[in-house]
Amino acid sequence: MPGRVPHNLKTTPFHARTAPLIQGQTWRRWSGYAVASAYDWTHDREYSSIRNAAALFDVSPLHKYRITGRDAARLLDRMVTRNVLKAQVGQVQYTTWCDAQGKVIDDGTISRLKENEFRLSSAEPNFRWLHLNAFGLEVAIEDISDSLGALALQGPLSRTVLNEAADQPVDALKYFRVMDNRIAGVDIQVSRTGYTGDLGYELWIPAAQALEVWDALTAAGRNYGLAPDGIWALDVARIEAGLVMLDVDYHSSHRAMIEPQKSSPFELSLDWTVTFDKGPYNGRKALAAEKARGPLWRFVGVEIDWDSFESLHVAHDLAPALPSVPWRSSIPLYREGRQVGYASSGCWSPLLKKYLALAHLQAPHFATGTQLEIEITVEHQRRRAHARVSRLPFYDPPRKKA
Amino acid sequence: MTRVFDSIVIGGGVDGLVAATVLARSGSTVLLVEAQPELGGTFREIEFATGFRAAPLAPELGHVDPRVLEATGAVLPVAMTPDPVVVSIGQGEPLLLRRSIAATAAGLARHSAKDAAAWPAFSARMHALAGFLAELYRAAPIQLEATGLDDYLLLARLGRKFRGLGRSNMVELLRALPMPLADLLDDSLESEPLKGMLAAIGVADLCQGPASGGTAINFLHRHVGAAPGVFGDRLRLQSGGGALIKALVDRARAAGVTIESGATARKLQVTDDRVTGLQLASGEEIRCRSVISSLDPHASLLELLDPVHLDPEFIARVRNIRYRGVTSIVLLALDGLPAIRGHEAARTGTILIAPSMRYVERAYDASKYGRVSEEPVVELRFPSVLQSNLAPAGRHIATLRVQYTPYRLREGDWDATRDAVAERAIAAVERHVPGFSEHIRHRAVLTPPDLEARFGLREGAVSRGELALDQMLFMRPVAGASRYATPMTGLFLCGAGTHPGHGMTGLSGLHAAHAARPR
Repeated sequence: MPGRVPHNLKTTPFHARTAPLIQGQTWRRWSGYAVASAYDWTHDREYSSIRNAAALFDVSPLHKYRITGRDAARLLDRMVTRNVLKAQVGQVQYTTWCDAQGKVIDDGTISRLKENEFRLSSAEPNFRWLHLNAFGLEVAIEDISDSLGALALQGPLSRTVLNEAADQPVDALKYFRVMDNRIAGVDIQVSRTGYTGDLGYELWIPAAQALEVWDALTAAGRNYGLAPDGIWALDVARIEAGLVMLDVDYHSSHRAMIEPQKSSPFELSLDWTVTFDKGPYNGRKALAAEKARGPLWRFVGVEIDWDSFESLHVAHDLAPALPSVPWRSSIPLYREGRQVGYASSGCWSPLLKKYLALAHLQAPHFATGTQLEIEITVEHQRRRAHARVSRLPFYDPPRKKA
Repeated sequence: MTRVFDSIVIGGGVDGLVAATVLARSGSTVLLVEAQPELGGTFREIEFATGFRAAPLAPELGHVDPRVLEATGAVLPVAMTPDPVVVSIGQGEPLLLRRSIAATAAGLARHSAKDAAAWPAFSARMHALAGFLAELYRAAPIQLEATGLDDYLLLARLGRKFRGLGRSNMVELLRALPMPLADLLDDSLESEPLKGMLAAIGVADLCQGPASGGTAINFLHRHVGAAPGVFGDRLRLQSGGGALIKALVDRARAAGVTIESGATARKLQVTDDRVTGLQLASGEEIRCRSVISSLDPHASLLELLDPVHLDPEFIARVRNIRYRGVTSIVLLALDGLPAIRGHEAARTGTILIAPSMRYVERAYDASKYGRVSEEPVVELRFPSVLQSNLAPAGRHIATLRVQYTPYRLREGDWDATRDAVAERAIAAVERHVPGFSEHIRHRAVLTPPDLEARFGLREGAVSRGELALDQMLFMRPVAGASRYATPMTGLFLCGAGTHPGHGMTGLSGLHAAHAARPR
């Protein structure tokens, strides 16, 4: 049996298909499940499928909750920073949710499947938090994380592949909308969402019939260069897209040890997810005060200056050494010699031909174009390369929303 | 025309009346609403049989701090000081707790020479320990992180007071607070009747027995404001709690408080994250800048207020408050007074059926398993002996405070159990006061669900939140709302569910008024 998974990890509903594909046994843990970092030995080919063809990700480890009942919309609306009451049936909303101090607990998407039925997907478990928020409301909350598999089909040819595989064409499905569909006789839902910043879809599939759908999709994708993709390729794409990741770029306020480890939506540059045009919700008061005061931090893009980066290596008679996989660590950022922030994710963008990072910068150092220095380790020595603040997303193709 | 007040006080019990009066005296316009037709809250008298009245929840007035009277201008009639305070009847000679330490000790000598000798020192130590609690009750709870000058002054004063306890009492206080009452009593005393009496007094209204950890503090709490050596009774008036209520209502009216009884608060109105009004059950909406609720914390925060305004973590804390009522009251109409085994003077005090500490602990055991005690702890009183207006001429009433009768029964329901409570309580009295039941002409039983329905006590809890170490001081009712202000701007709490808690008559109303006073 190929695919030796660390014995204490759960396997996703697609495991029987993904396990034989993984060449380097690069299993990694995601919410207690084993998922592939890459199916090939490196992620390069997988990354190109995202930007040039179609890529298939197993994103089943997302936490998923089904919320039903008379007050389902009220529950989510009192919990998250966006206006859920306004969502139409078939609409998907990306949102953050905060504690009473306006610090982010988690981020994810809310799909309004029916008037009184929603699905929340999140990075971390939120069952307890949903229940605490549901006090006094008439709702049922069901954790469907294990019973519902999820695939992300992303890339410029994803629509073509999906149209071949699915009973209903998806051409009319707009950005951040969800529809019922059917693949290989399996009733599924397709949302026009994803984590790559490209044209793409996410498919919500009953776990028991997951393999039929996988087989139908991979068969449909054969002529379009569809590749199963791992987390490294996904990470490159999401950094290019400037999408924040929990536990990498920020920490849930429920897990933070100290106040500075918490982030507000403004500090994560997710202002657009915060509305004051609705009733009371967790953190509203604190967020209103922060909005009035202006955030003390911003989440921005940073481009590392190639000439500077190269010259630090040349000094040691080395060719510039780029990270082979995206990194997820805290790297200090300086301005005029003083630390003004830190990068939390970074990678080489094969598409943009740039060394990119996602970073947190203190006021007032986050304006686009601000010249910074980033710490680089060259031949075991800490150096600083020039870098500049860049607008996010780094990459934003029109096809994403078209 | 919408009515407008600076403040609305919910609940016309002692704390609500005090809060309303203090606010009105400081210049605010105040409306007080009381859902019941009469004022008085848990001091209210009810007529349980034609011509027979009783105040089921207020056998005594608790500790009426002089500052409560000073702040309201209320003057109380001269207090009565019946002696003996408590008579414990069990095996052997009845044991009398008297107002004089020497007199109690003299009586104790018949039970235990050692206890008679220990009594003065025990009384002094308990009084010193309760005195430190009294100091903590003088103001809003201390904050662990002092923020202002007032906090530091309070901490400094407490520090001095703590040092003033002396080295051995300092240690004793820290040891006693989380201790089982049984151990505290065993430390000093040996006589079972004495320990049974003090244990019963100390676990009153707790869903715990004397051997449970953290029960010593309830005993000390109930001693605050009492004279050394006096347990289980603090202040009584000729006309009962009614005199206190009447004095407070008069002072409230004189201060300009508008009082409306029969007016039920339904929903707080909130605009821009602050309280802006109150809707009554009648539908009337009254505007105000602040609401001071003397209802229990659950009702105030989660029923009057839409929980959507509160942090879910805070909601969880409020929902986790333990109430767990265990007390039933049996009211009896009597055609005469029974003889009390040669201690007829005891009929002015409390007659306690708690012959030993073990008896009290056994009575508690039943409630652990959701059952009513087979042999309950009973406090028997004849209030009509001193308050003749409670019964027709020549007749009397008896009140029986019965513990343990848990709010949640494991088997059966309360309608099927109500009579058993009365029968077991009366049987327990009859065992020790033969002929008692012959005088009974009528009875009424108030079980925990009855107390909930008639007096608004959640889960029938007389304490309105168990008085345990984790539900006291800066954790009463919950951390984050212990200084009467709540996370909702303009909503303040008072009442027995807040610091300092049940029996500290009017103090929370006074503290809450200070917290709510416009600055």
